[in-house]
Amino acid sequence: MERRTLLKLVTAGVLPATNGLVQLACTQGGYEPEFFSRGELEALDSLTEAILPSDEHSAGARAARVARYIDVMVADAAEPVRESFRAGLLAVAELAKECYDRDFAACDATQQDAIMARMASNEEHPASETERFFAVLKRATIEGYYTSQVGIHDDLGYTGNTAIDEFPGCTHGSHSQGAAG
Amino acid sequence: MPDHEYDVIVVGSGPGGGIATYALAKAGLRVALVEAGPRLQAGVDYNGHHWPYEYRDRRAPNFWRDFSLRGHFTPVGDRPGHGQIRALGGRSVCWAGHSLRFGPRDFEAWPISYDEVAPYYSRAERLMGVYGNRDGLSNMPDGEFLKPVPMRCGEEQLRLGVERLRQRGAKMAFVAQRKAMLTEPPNRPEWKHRLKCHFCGHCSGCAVEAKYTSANTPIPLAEETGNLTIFAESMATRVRVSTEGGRAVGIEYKAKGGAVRELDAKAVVLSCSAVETARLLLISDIANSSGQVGRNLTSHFGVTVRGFFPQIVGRDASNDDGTSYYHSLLTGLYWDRPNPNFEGTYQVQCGAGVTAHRRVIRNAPGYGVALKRRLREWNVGHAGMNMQGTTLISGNKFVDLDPIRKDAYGMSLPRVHLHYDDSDVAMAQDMVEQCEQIIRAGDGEVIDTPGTVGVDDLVVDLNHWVGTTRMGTDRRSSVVDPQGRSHDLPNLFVADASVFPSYPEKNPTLTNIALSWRAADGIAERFRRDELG
Repeated sequence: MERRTLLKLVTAGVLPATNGLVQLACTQGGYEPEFFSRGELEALDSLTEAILPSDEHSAGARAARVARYIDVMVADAAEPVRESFRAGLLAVAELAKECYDRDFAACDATQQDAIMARMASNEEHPASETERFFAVLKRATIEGYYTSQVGIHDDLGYTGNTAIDEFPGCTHGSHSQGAAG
Repeated sequence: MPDHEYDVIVVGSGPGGGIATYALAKAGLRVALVEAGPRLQAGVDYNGHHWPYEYRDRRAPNFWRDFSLRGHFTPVGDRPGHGQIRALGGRSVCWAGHSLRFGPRDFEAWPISYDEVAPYYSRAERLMGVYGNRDGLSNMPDGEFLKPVPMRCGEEQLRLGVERLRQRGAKMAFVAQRKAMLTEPPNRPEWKHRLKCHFCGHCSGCAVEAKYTSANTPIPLAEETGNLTIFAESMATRVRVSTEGGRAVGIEYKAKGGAVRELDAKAVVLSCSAVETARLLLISDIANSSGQVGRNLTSHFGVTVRGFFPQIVGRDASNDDGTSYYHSLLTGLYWDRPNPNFEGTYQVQCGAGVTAHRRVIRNAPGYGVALKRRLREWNVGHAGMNMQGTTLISGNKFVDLDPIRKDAYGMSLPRVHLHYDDSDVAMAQDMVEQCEQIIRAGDGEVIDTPGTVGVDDLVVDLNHWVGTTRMGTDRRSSVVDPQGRSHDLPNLFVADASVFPSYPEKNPTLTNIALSWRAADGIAERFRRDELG
């Protein structure tokens, strides 16, 4: 896809541009990555946030430190998994260079969305390296986010995993009439 | 040289072996219980209430994953699995607790009737503590129930769908699940080692023993009689028979550390599971004049369909844990009139809601804010329908011995052969269509379905194998008699689900326990009549 086409899709509202502010700040604090380089970790941080962003409901993958989770997971994984992440990140970097002449993390929100849209455009039948990587990355992002405190408690609003006296179940009493509360 | 002499050796301490041990020890017989695994202590060796983010790999402890034996069999065909726990209590330690009576029609092909088993169902339910709703169904009789556990909103939407279809003449029922968990205070002496359920959802590996297991009820009660000796971490490697081959005289086992030892007894009871009991008989080369040991293998299998109900996304979803995912059951299908496209029938266990330690909806299309909202709404507002159909009993499904691979004890590994028949695929296809219809009738949308079912979509229940030592009155076509006694060796018995001669859609364990109790009573009666002394 041409750079011009991507931009057109975004301005026409076909592709979402939801990230709001450009987030260039490194949020990894003093974290020392176990597997990825600092640059790769930064790219992962931006990519995971683009997949599960902060919104008015809850914080996103960046706040949930999903990139760190992926770093640890890949560090512990077998060689093919490590290889797929390295190659995938490289392919994303090349795509960002090709489209905007900069790293993914350095792209603004609109540009990141355009790249993400391209990676996600063929989700059912991924063909290119970045399309295949999208599936891998998305799975890892979802896993990392919904096993984090942010995902479980802030996003899902879950307070269980505890002892309660009685299980209330559905208390609406209206489903059987077809008017669920 | 034999270590000791016992009246009865029970091999395996799962649901069947646990109850047989209890009944035999209570009858005053000296029992040796031989279990390959160690004694585990609930709340110490396993417990609940962990969070995934407390762990580097985000994998909070999970009994099933942490304690199940992997790769201890050879799969042949359409992805058979074989679930095994080696621990005192066996598979009962991590079972889901689903306790459904087989109905009168389910016993029609059996040499015993529902009425003969019913008193044992009642005894089993009273000992186990089974909760449920009195539903008055024709072929899934009510039991002696503790207070039922309510469904979540998503399940109520499915019930609504079923009600609407019933009004249009559909033959089906949607009822609360029935499980062996104490929903009331443990106010019976048999429950003194247990606590009331606190609805945390960590039922596989219940840390407070609210769920019935062999290890928290029958085995400690049997120990208290003074008649029970437990041989834990002891693997039975062979059933020993007399020189003329007419009787079992005991077993050979490998103790912890590998020493080969023998136990003598007047009777031997095998309760090792359908795969392992068949394996031990085949390795011992006994009780198989019928050639049926390992044959007639069947399990439950199925596919999953999920629906989404947009009208309930605003509900309070802060704690859907309950007694783990499945609180409801679609049943009553094809009880009265069989479907011409397949043999037998299926039930569908249903669940709903957010389960943080085992999220149900793990993917959705797209990315960004829309993906995030969708994942939240789908987890909050979905209902899941998991089919449990009976695989057709045929020559395509059986257990035999692997001629090459051996386990750490030097025993041949079992091979589990599973090749689905056309009837199986047709049954799963029907389930998919029925479930999609129910979701839509309940004002939902189908978000996950195999659509057109192929063999690759089918998933076998790796814990529900039965049938490998089927009971019958004809010694040419069955392995044991209607009391679980070998047709070939008069003091060898099977007390587990291997003896089922046919299999309904319902979960096996309650019937396994009822039949094993009945078999143990039969053994005790033979001792009283001095037939086994």
